Amino acid sequence: MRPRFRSSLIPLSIAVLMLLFMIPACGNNDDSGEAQESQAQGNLTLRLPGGGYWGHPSPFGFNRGPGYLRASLVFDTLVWRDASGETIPWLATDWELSDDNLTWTFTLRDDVHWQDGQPFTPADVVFSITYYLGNPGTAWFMAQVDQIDSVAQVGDHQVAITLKQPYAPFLATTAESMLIFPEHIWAEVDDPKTYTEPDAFIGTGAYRMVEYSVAEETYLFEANPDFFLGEPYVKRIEFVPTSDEFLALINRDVAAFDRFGGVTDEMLVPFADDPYEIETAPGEWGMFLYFNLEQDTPLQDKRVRQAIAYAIDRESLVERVLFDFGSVGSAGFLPPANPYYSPDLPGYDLDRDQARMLLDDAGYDGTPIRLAYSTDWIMASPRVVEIIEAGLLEVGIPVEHVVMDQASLDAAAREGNYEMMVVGFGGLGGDPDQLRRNFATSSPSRGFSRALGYSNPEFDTMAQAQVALTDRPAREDRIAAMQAILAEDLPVLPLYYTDRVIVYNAEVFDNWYFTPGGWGGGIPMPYNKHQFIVGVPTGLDIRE
Amino acid sequence: MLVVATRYVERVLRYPFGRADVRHVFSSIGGTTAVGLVLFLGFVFVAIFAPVLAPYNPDAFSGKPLEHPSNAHLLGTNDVGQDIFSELVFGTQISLIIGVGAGLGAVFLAVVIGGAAGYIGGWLDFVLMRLGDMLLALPRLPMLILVNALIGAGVWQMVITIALLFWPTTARIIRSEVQRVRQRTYLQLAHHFGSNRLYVLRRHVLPHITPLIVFGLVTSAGRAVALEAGLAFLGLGDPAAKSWGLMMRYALNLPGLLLTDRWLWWLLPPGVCITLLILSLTLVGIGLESRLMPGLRRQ
Repeated sequence: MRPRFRSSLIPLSIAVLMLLFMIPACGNNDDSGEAQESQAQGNLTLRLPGGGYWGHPSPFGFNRGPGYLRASLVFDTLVWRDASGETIPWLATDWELSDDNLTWTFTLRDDVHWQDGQPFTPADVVFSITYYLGNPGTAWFMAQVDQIDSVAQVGDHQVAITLKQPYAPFLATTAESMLIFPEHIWAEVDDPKTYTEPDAFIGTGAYRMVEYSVAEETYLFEANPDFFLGEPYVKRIEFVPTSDEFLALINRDVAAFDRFGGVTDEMLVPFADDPYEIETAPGEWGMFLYFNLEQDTPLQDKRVRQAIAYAIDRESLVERVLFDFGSVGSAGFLPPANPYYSPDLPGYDLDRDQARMLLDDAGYDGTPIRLAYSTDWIMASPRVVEIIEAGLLEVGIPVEHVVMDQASLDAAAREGNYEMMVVGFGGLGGDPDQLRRNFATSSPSRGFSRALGYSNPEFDTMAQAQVALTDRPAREDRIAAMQAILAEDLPVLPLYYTDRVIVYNAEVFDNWYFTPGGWGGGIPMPYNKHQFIVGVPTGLDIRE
Repeated sequence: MLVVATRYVERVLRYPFGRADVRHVFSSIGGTTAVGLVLFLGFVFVAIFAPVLAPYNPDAFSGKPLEHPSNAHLLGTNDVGQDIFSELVFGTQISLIIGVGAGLGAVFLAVVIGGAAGYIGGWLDFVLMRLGDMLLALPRLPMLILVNALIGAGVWQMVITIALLFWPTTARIIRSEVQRVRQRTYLQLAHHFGSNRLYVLRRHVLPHITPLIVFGLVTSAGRAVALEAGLAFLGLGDPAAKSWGLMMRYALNLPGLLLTDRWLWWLLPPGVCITLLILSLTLVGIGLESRLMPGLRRQ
């Protein structure tokens, strides 16, 4: 009767030791180099860090920007955007707005086929929009389809989309991000979100969805030789999980990686020389502290929210979470990178005495406030929460932690099931109508960026008015005033904006760019499908 | 405390009737055990005097992010500018609390359950041992992940969960030893002369299982330390309890960590600490085994 500890404990300690010394070795497997064919061979494969599972790439099954990216490879929109930031033709070759600013008429290509061989027709566009309108909540929240009143086919190759009211950003948001899907497949589908039969992934897009795996968090797309612009330049796109993107790039396991904040010059030293290239762009992705005003908490009092803004050391967040690769949040929500950003707003610089005074004025009694956050993905939230909590404790606000995974957090944000929440998202460089979408009382949006329970009639009036303004300076004035109101009311405290960087191996693929204002309605990631399809920064001619 | 326990065990084994030769007991602690004990006591010392030994509060932002080692920060600073050396020193407390706590808990359960099963026997024995088999068959890490998700990831939850998972191995051994001792003629006699059960258990049975208790404690503690490090490394530990495993996780979260020298002062030290703590417990276990088991066999 010998206890078996000798046989179990020694291997255990050895295993820990080995784990330590194996970690540096992990990156050294070289077997994937073959997958990265060089550009010259005309069989260009791009393997990219996937960062997780982002839903299935049907028009209804994807999650967040990275999910939209995958779906956008398979499904197209009426218009798109290239490195110039200008709207370019896509499924539509031409578009025009009626004199009353209410009806957009799009002329569609007549040479487009669905990937199953069926012809693409204006009826598909009419069907898609009608479907979105008939099933609220199925369209991507950034597409703003609720601005559409009706849609009809005009002649053989045109559709006319009539809006409820003049809507200035229609082309850049709705037309650019609303995915068009085939009537002959989806007409019979009852539950679009969970529909994953093979034909759920048939679009007009430049790439076919070959496979995706929930468990392995991988996606594989192959070029569609019958794509309407011709065969795409990049022949194969793979999204794979990586434990360390820096190592993966050096080992040629991936062709590029991007970071939103959290990079220092020292960290990028290994990529200083050929074949690596580095591109940076200012922040259009932000981290926010949301206050749920639908719930009866001390946060209902504006002074408590302002006190929180004064109490949190947001400079420290930028220094310690982003390594100074980013900037402090603007109380008006829009980042400096947005053309409509207003610089004349209260800064809420760290001032804990001011915070305590405001709390006293508000009669705050030390009720703990629950803070929901996620430890997943790019969020870095445990560190963010550490710094937030330190600031709040300093002024006497106790915090209760509610930790969730990202999907649950997004769901809680939509359902209003939180008191305070740390949540990050992009699209901030896109059209400023996002202020109306997120903060106006009448906005039907229930995305994770929607501020709940906030209502300010003055803001609402301006939010409604700016939508119809096609005159740029007039609209700028309104948007600036809206930011001023938000900065005073603080329904949301913007914590920081992350600067962006993409590091890539130019021998594999050299045409990387950040799209001004984001693509697909404002997505700030450097993975605009246009660059993969045509292989050059602008235009529709595919590189030889 | 472990020294006292070890001595007590050896005394009981060598002189079951209570005649102790103190000098002999001293010299009988073997070299392996001694090395293990010194190491272990070193960690205990660090844990107790952590507030004195650590130059900074491990939660304080005492420097800029990602500083290299310097006089101000012996092991540099982590990604948010906290002193890595101080984190390491305070991490000792967490590992020890979890190791010793879970070890004690597991052994306590093992003694009660194994003892009851062995001494009372019958259907109780059957039920308890099948329960133990079931727990042994369960894979540990997935089970802990599940329990964590259900009851939260605090330090004490982890101690209790690990204790609940680790008792069966020791309980089985204790049960068979108790069964064996129970058959002894003198115990049967003691019964017939009217000694009550508790007296018999304490006076005659406990000394026999004491060495097993120490083994159980040492082995369970070592595995608990490794398990906690593993859980924290996977991001399933208590995010507020900055253990060594959590330090390693944060270090590896920094992309490109291994492309610079930074891993030398951020990743390696907590790994070495985990290894040394487990090693110390293992050495004590090995030493005790070679000392104590021959004695058992002789009987």
